[in-house]
Amino acid sequence: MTRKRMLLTRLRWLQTGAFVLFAGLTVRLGDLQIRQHETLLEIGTNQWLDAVPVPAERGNIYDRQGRSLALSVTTWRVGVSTTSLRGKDPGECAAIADRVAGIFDLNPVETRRRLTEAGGKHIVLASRAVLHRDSLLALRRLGCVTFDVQHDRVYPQGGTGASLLGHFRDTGNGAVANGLEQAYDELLAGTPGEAWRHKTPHRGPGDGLEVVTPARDGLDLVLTIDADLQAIAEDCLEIAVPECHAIGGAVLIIDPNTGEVLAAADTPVIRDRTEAAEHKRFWDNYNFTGSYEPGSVFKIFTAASLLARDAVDTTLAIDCDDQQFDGYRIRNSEGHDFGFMSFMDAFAHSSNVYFARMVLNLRRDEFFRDLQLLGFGKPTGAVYPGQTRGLCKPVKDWSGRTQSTIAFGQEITASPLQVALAGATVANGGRLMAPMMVREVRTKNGSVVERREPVVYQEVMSERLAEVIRGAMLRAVTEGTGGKASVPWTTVAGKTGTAQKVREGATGYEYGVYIASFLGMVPADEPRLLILTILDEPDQSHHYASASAAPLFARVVEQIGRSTSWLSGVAVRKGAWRTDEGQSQVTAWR
Amino acid sequence: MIVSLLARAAHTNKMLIVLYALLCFASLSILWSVTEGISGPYKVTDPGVAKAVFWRQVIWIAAGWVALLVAARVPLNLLEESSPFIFLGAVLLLLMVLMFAPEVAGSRRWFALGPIRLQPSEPAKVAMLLVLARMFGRSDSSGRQLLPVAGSLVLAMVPMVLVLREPDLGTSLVFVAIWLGLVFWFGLSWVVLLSVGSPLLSAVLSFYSERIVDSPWPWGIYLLVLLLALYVGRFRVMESFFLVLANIGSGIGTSVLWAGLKPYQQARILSFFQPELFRYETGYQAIQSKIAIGSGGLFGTSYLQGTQKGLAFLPERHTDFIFSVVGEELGFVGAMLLLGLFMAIILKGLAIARAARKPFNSHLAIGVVTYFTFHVLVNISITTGLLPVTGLPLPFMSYGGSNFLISSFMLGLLVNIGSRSFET
Repeated sequence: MTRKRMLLTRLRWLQTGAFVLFAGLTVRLGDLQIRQHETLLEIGTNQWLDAVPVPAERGNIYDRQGRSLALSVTTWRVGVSTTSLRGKDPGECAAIADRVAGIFDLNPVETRRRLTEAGGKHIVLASRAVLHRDSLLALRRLGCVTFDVQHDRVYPQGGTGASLLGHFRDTGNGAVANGLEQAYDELLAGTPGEAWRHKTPHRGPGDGLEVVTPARDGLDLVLTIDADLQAIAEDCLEIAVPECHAIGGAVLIIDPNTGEVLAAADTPVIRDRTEAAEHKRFWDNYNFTGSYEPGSVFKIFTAASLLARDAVDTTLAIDCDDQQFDGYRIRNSEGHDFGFMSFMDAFAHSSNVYFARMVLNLRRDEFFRDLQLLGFGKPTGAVYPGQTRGLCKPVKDWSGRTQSTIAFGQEITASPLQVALAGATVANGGRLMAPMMVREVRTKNGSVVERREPVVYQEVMSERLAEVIRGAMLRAVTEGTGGKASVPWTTVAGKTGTAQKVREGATGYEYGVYIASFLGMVPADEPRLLILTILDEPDQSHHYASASAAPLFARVVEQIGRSTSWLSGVAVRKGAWRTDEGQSQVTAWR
Repeated sequence: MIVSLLARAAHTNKMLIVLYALLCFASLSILWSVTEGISGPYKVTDPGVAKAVFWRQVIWIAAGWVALLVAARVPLNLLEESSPFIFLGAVLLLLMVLMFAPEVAGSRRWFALGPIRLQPSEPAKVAMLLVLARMFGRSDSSGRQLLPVAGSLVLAMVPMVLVLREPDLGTSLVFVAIWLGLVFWFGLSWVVLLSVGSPLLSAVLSFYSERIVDSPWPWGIYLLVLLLALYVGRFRVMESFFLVLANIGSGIGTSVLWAGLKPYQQARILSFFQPELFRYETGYQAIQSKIAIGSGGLFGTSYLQGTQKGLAFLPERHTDFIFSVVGEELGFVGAMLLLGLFMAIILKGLAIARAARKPFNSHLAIGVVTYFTFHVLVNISITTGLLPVTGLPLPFMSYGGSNFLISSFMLGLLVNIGSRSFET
């Protein structure tokens, strides 16, 4: 083999070798850049990019007079990334520590020690700091300080209205809300945005935050609630419950003309939010979520049905002694032996027997339809978590005595709100209103997004009939069972109700255990407020509504008259609408 | 297609100069990008690589052109005659660096001459190449081969051992590679080549069996394949016997050598085999480099937009890992173009080596080709995670004066040889 030939073969070897090796690199590059591209790109991106949510500021909640009920406050979680202090001379670190300590009012010696001993860790200096613009800028200039925005919820009115408003807490891993905070969460919450947090291998967190989609702040709500009325309702309830040795109670105040809920108090009355936050049962407002048998208050609606359908001769007095209905004895409350009574007396003195008998003049389906018309057994349309729609049995499930028992408010359940809204039809001349909790929805900068107007669901009775029933209710206060609900300076129309409580977990009623309620409206001729007071299981001496719920009503009205303008100017009308006038109207009904 | 285009252009003498110019341009472009950090929405202030690096490289490239032109014009006879002195000078420098250079990160590799760092291991490559080319050029390959080969090995060992002492494993392997290239071109018989090459392979595989997989099979199978090759290649019995013996010996010797390595060298080698165990140490560089290259995809993140580069995850992105930036920003296509440039230099170099009539010139050309091939292959294999991380620059692309000047000089030699094809 000559050298020339040898070189040629070796050249071929080298060329082939170079080709093979370069082809190998090509394959490797193809493997990395084409086959593994997605995976490696993702690993790479994860190294320098975190998607972090930008919290939206929650909408504030105001009462109808613009008082703050719930506010979002921006606070900062401020820390120091001590990795970026590395390499700086001790004097500079000490200066930084002093600046930071000065702004947060910390012990400078302690702060210096923490910074020097952190050893590259991220330390938190203040977890809920409220920072002014100047101090924020000053801290930013230090370079090593990290910031995380937080939105805290504060409730300036403290416990007032707590069980209605609910409670919002951001626990860090998800928000917890209840009450109206939960009900209107969609409006309040806003939409969190998204930001990208950039990282380098040389710096700690907070390297750079690029907002990709800005957060849309939540909307502010102006509620129909009046913080004053709410406070009055709660205060009165808190006095009445122990006074009557009751286990609980509720006060619901609505504007009968608009359906606006003005106050909704229940027990336990929350005074300290943080303490109550742990107990779930504190937070469901009984006025929306509770369901009870209204008892004699329901006679208002039975009466309406009877009068509207001309099923009763108001002048005719009938035997109202206890008697049998479908093998079941119906008694008048308080064991009264009323003898013969006419409509007006039976209403004022709350004779169960009268209504149990009279209601039989109505066809079952007629009566049922009237109850439905008033909203019983149907959702009210209010937005509140865990609402009940009550129980209004369909006609096919009625036993022989059901019609008669419903007539005086047993064998039917409703939430206080349902009873109040049905009662409002009497107060406002026959219109069933949609319940309103929110007057206005606004943006953070105050422009109104939505102004809500009262909505009439249905005309359920004539104005005249409503007036007649109000007259009957007025007499129930002036002459009947609701005497203790009267206030000296204005007229009150109302009706007591003392319902036996259903035995829990069993059929039938519990002996001697009552729920006492009073549905009243002031002033009687042109009601501005409709107030429903309820006391749950008052003791033996208070178990009649006349002795528990009616005085509570009077107390609430007195307070309202004394410290708010809701009832100002009504006093002069006293006497303009006399009881005998109501009597004559009812008499003239036929 | 690109390679074939370049190969056609290889018939012109100016091809190497054009390739050089293209590589200079590529180097400056990538260094500009590296020193730019990253723009756009990334709110990161990367401590990064200073702009000065770019401007210094501009100066180095200017100097590189001078070196290239000098090497292209210098009488090769003169180089051949003076090569022993050049070699002595280079060895002296290497000795001086071991004695006087400052220790940086556990090694002594360069002198600081004012603002310039001189890395004596770079000129040592040229010096060794010259002296070996002279030696092989004057020996008759058809006669007794072993004497010049043994002599050359002794010569090559001198700078290699000195560089290994710095320590700089990657560069010392360059000397081995150049020596192997020359020996191959010299026409050393396959028996001898095998007896040198196979024990090395045996050493690597025995290490792999023992340290990494803890199973005798990789090494065992290799030995079986070797036996088969010896039988098929009709080697003599005695040759085969000694070859097998050498293989087994080197395999066992590996364990002894391993114990002699510095802990960081052991870590590097282990991290190559198991990078996930060394993610935040030595393996970190390899992983970041793979991520950068892989992120590039087919067309890259586009120039200046590489996040691995820009956000400083990629270590040594202006020097040894500059290819990763190419891979990230210019993608598979850009990386292939760059590979094509180097491939063209290598093919042209091989053609020049073959055409050279004078054995010294021919050996010199092969040495230069080996130098470039080794640097390019090893550097890119490191950045793509095929080889353990050892500091080895990518010729013409990586920032650094010494290597740029020496590479330019080497390329100039190729141009020189190519223009003297008819000299005997």
